[in-house]
Amino acid sequence: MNKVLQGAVLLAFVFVSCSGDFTVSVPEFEGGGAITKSLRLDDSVKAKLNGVYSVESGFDIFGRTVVGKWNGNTFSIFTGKNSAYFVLQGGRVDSSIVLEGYWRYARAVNTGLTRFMLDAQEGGREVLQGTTAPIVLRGTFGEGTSTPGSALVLRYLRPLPQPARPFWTIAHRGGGRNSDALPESENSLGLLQIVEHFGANAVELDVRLTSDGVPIIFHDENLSPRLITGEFAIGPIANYSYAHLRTLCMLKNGEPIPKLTEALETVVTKTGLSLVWMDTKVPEAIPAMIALQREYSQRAATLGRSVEFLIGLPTEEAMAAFLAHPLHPSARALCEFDVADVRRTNATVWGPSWARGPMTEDVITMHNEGRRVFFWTLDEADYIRVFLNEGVLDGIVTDYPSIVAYEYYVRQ
Amino acid sequence: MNTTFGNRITAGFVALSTLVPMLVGAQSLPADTTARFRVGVDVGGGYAYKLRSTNQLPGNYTRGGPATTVRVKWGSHNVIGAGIETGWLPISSLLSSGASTSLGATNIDASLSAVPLLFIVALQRSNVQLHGGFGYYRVSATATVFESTIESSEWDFGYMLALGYVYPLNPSVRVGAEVKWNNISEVQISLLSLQARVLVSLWEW
Repeated sequence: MNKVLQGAVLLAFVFVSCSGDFTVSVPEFEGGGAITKSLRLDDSVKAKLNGVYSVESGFDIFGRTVVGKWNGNTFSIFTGKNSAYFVLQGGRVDSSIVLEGYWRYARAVNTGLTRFMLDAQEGGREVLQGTTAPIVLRGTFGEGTSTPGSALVLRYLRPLPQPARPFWTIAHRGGGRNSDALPESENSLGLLQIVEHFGANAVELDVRLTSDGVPIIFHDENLSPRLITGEFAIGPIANYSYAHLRTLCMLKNGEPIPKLTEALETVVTKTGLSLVWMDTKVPEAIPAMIALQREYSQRAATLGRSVEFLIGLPTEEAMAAFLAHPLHPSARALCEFDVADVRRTNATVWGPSWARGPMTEDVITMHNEGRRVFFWTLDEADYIRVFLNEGVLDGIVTDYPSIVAYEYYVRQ
Repeated sequence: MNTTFGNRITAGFVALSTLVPMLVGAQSLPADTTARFRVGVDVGGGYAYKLRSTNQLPGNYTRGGPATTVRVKWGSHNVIGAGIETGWLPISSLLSSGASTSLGATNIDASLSAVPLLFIVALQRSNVQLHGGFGYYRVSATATVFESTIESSEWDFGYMLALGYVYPLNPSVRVGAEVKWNNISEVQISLLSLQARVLVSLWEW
């Protein structure tokens, strides 16, 4: 009978241990921090901070080399060791520059506050005056919301590489997965607005249709606690009208499931992203995707933005639906199959799985035909390095844009 | 990438962790407690209560409701049995009038229920019975919002554990009661129920 009890206790333990959800919130300085008393930096000043840095203190945690890069008003630092990223706001205080924000391990929940100073005597004055000087970012970092106390010193080594052609770091599922405990839900409008902080310059969105034909972005075929909260929403998402979804459930962190139109509008008006890969989860969505591709390409152009919208073709059914559409010859597609299918669909981009290897000859063939090649989904630094070292691909889809960004920019 | 698969692995592990000790425990029972076998049906009825609410909608929310259990089991009289279990589990319901949503005000009438289809193992000692099982639940939702109704269902992995007491009325009929825990692990739904039971032997040898 004791063994029966042991089984019951184990069952109860596993139930209790599995039933909790966790999210990681972004730590913030009390009162907004020193950045609230700083002046805005000019773009020319910011550009001087873009580069590869050696780590003189704190390398036991973040490694010997890091990459720093501005995206709009956010300065991100990407590390090799522990795959960390820093998301910092910058400003001018007298003749110095202050950078303040948080750090986070991409693959773990460790996070904390951090603050850097570029002192007037260590390059700050020259950078602010538009001249050059050796730059030393002296900073501290801490755990959680505790006051940063551990030293982190970065010395500027070299500027970021200037590639001969564009490279796309494409964030999977609108920026990342719920399993990585991001501050916003996967495939949410909020995540789209912060994905550049993680090093992405493009996103992949998963497009599905509601029962009343509204294109939405949602990865899974079924509603489940992995992606949503909402007790009365269960089963295939295609069973639900948009009104039902909006009323009955929310994404994991409380956001509504976005319409594709809302997501594209967000990309165009609230981000600097340059490419959207719309992954066709159901072939019935193809006509709406073609129409929205045209609409938002024009909208971006009207706003002076250069954003490319691609229709992903991951299945035979999606390819058939695409080819059956009368406007497909003028639509820009991304085909995931073989090069023959890429030609058949006249796809702009070939999107093979990384598991097929770098396929250098085929990639060069695609380039010679005026097409680009994006590999999916690469998350391991070792493999990312292998593909980058081949030197012929145009982009990588990843759950960890900060890792791809580090590996891409740290190369000499 | 597929967390559902991971859940199934975890749930399968849990189910095995429960059942193996039960079987081992059964082997340690005195041999003279069993002499005959039977196939029986076990019918129960009572009330189920949902243990953790995830509802965020306004209105009159009800957890659980009247539940039933039907088991068909083969087994020895007093030691171990195996069979299948089904029944009806009302999980929750909601009635809301003029609820405010981002799309405007609407009445909401929603309910969630499950029909289990489980493989079960039973262990009996004296008049105390322990049942454990795993399998799939057909989970169904019905929801009316903005005067439009949808119905949606799916199969979800889960398991069950029940502790009961039975009292023999005659050689073929026993009555009893049990406390039962149903966990539909794939969708993180747990219910605790208290049910009265009637156990009838259909064939004996």
